Amino acid sequence: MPHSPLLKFNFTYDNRFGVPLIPITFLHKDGLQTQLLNNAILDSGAYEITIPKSLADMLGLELRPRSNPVHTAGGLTEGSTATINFLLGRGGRFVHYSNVDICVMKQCPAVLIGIRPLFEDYSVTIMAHQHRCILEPKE
Amino acid sequence: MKKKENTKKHEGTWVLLNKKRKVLYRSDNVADVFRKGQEYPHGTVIIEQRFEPGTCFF
Repeated sequence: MPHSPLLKFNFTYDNRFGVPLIPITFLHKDGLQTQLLNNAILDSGAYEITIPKSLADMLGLELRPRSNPVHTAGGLTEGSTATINFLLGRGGRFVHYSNVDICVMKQCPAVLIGIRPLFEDYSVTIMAHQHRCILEPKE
Repeated sequence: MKKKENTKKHEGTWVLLNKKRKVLYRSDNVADVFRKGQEYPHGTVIIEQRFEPGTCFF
């Protein structure tokens, strides 16, 4: 799961929705960057990045079957695996991730940024009272 | 006094915003919004999801 040098981030987010949000830019299969998604949900309860199938299809991602069903709070559901490239960050400060396996679900309420790879690469501090999350690269 | 039209029920979950945060496009289909975003020069617009306040994600 290669990435460019990790940068420290200090993201503030709109607290109307009550969950920590981070900016992410996905890349199409052909390398073309999408526009910035400003508020993906930083979700330590998710094992990996999860996106809606319609978005995966639009990005031209190749879907592969998963060996096991996906466990969600609502119960078991079907999902696929895809490999994606993306940029973490905004304002000219980006970390480029390549070949990251993600989960793709048809019924997916949001873009979820889970444990792999962000929480593995960063010490994540969510300061809900300040509507801020700090991502500190692990040593 | 003209009654203010309630447009909330027509709002899409996903929105495309310009730098002044004016909504350029909205849809419940995330792919439609990303696709629409590709019509603009890169970096001139952003995509956001409008959650209902109080929405719980587990």
